[in-house]
Amino acid sequence: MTVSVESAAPEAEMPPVVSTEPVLVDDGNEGARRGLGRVPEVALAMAAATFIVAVAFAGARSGKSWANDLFWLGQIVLYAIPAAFLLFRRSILRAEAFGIALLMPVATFLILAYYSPDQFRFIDEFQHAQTLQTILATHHLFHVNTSLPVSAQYPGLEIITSAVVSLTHLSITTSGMIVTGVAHVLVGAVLYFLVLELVGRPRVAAFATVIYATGPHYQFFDSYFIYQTIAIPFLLLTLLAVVKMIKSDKAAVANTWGAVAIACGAVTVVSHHITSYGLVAILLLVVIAQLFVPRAGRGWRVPVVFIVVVGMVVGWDLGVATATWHYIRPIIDSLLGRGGVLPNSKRQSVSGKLPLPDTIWEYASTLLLVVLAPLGAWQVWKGRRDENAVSLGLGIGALSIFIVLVVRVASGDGGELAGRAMSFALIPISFVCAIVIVARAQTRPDRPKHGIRRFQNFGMAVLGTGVLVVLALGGIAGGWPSYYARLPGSYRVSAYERSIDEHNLDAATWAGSHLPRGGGVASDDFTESMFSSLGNQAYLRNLAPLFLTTTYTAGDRSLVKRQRIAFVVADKRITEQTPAAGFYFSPDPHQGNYKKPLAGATLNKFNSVPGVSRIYDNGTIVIYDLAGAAK
Amino acid sequence: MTTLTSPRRFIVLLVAVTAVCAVVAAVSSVGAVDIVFGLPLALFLPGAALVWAIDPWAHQVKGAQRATWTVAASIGVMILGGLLLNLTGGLTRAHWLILSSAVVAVAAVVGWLRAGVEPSPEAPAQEHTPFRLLNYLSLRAVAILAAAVLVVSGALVLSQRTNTEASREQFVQAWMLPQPASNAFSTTAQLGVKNEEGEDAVLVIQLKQGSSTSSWTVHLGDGQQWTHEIHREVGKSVSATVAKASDPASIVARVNLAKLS
Repeated sequence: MTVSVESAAPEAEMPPVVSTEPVLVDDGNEGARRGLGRVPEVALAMAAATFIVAVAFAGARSGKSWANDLFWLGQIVLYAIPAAFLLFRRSILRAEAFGIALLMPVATFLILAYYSPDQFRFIDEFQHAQTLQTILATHHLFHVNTSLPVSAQYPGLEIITSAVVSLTHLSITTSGMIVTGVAHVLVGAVLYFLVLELVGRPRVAAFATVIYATGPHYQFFDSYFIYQTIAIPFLLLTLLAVVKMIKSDKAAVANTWGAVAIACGAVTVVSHHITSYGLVAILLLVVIAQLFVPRAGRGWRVPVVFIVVVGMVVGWDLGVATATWHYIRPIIDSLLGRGGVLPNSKRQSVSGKLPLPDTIWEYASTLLLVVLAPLGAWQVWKGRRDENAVSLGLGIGALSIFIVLVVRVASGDGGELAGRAMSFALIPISFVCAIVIVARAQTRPDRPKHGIRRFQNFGMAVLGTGVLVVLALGGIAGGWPSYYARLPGSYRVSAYERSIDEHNLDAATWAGSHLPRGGGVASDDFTESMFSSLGNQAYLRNLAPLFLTTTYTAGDRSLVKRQRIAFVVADKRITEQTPAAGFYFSPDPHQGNYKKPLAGATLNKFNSVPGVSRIYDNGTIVIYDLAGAAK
Repeated sequence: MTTLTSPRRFIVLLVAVTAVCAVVAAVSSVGAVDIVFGLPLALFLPGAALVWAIDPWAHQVKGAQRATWTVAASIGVMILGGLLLNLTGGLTRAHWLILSSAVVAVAAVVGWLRAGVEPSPEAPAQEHTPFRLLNYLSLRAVAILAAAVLVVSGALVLSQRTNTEASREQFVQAWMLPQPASNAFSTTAQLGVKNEEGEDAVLVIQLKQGSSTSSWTVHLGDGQQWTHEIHREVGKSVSATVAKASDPASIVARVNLAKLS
């Protein structure tokens, strides 16, 4: 039986200060007041918001001009509803708060499903699909991945997905969507329980999950079939276990939670490198924070968990994931502005040049976080005498917004790297920002129960909802997919999600089943990525010169021999469209400067090279075998 | 030791469900059955057993948090178990079934033993209150939630349909590949054509080797393919074209192999 909100647990009166003894209304102890509250209404409203986005996607697929506006409308509604509910309601049932924490990831995952209901759309997903296919074929881990070698060395996602494929006989795509969907929902649920353990306020905990959902990579990137998706919930689970460990009165219980934290840390470590480093960084902050909390709040278990996790990270990276450094170095190069191998390390971002409105929204949201995060951190610092080390550690961690800001502004690939960093930085930031915003929009118990005056801070609630919506719009505008692929539609060259279609899917799949594994492929970057992941061919870089000449020169011949190029894959659409992301190749010497497509002769020249065979043609994509030309 | 406490009752139920799922999944080859009985073995049952083994009296985690830990623990134990399987027999279906069942069995024994101990006086604990759905759901709530599901279903159908229509490409794949493909100078090759037109197609395939020409007219359903083995002659190139019978002058795919030296 559903009860009215007025009779619900009046948790709103509690000040949102961080405490080692949070005032919790235990699940299942609400007796007659137990119920879903307004969760069904919120769910229906959020479902309607996702429907608006689905209609926008449908319109975009048929080229309707209104699709973009409708998309933004749906997104605003999607974020405004839970934010307003949490800030305007006089009191919140625990079920309502947890319901929102669950609905947010469910709704955002639905948007991903609406975008691409039946197949992977992001190139990295195909790279991990290759690792999974190899596991399913060989029944063993750590085989070579021709497209992303480091993927096979962090097989957490592929292991659990292979279990689902094996036990259910579902397809790789469906099993992958189930696993990533569950992981995405787990992020919301675990973050909710983490913040709830720290502050004891369901409203703050739920609002933290909504803030986290405004992250630039939350809706798509962190839900894709890529290793980070499975690692993030285990990072959060590790922190949750550490909090419970610290709060445990009994040594045996604390030891058990310590073991759980280490086990969750182990899953993180074997699943994703960057996430495991993020976990180490947060645990280090917690260890440091122990120095600033009262002696009673300190303990030997936190350093032990930290040391064991560090040991696992070092051991895994040096003993198993030996390709990690090779993979990460270009990212560091890009971060530091040196000439990396990323296509965008020197010039523009993979996001291309953002339209002005998108840039404004992105910077507005960043500005809000830059203001709110220090406020929240200060609030946590002020209450450090009553906090546990995790609260204080997260409070300090919230200042990472400034590191992200520096990366965003100073790095050659700032937008992309900052977006990725926000998936981790937003964990502490969402925690402290939720404390700040909810505190200012909180209802006083002496307010009337009806009428406009029942809102203690009506203006602040409006402002808080507005802040949340700006955060969401900024996250989407500056996040993933970039503006040129934000809505689905026809094929576009160099447009990530929009660069996957039946032509290159079928051609790459054909290569995977007909061509010898590991042959070097030369093509534009997106086609090459498809052939290296689905087609099991080697991924080569620095091949742009081969496609920038209209005749087959001695330099081309030398390049083919030097790079051991076995096949050239010519997608004629690079001679028909300019690249959406600004580059065709990786790296591309003309990145950001293409005013017209490449000349047709840059591809047709391979038809007349002696010894070259034209072994495949589907009308759009042609594969040339260079074996005869190498002699 | 033999008292059938509330946690023990749940553990017995868990073991029974796991046994049924494992047996059915082991013998079944029906898609829907595999999904219904296989999915809990991967994403729910091992974690549930672990949670009940660690915290049989629900002192530490309850309600929604317990459910969250259950799913997370299942995923975690399968990932770490997968590493173990890699060192032993491999990640096969049979081994996944054994792993999942073994985790539940061991955890159930631990949980059974721990669930017989009375809660300590310092931390009095209630018997686990079973989740009662009716306490949470009213008719109004069910109706509104059903409406939400209906809206989402409509959005999914809309997305599926428009995505299928928008991504439908019509083309023909043709290939000519030495056999084996790793030997570019092999004297045998395969000519293949696959219909991806989205409907039946009548295709005219012309093969030319030196001065000799061969031609086939093939009827292929959507997704069907046709292959032909070619004997390559030294010093002669081989080429083939594919056109639709309705418009034979318009070549839709063209392939060739360089001269054999």
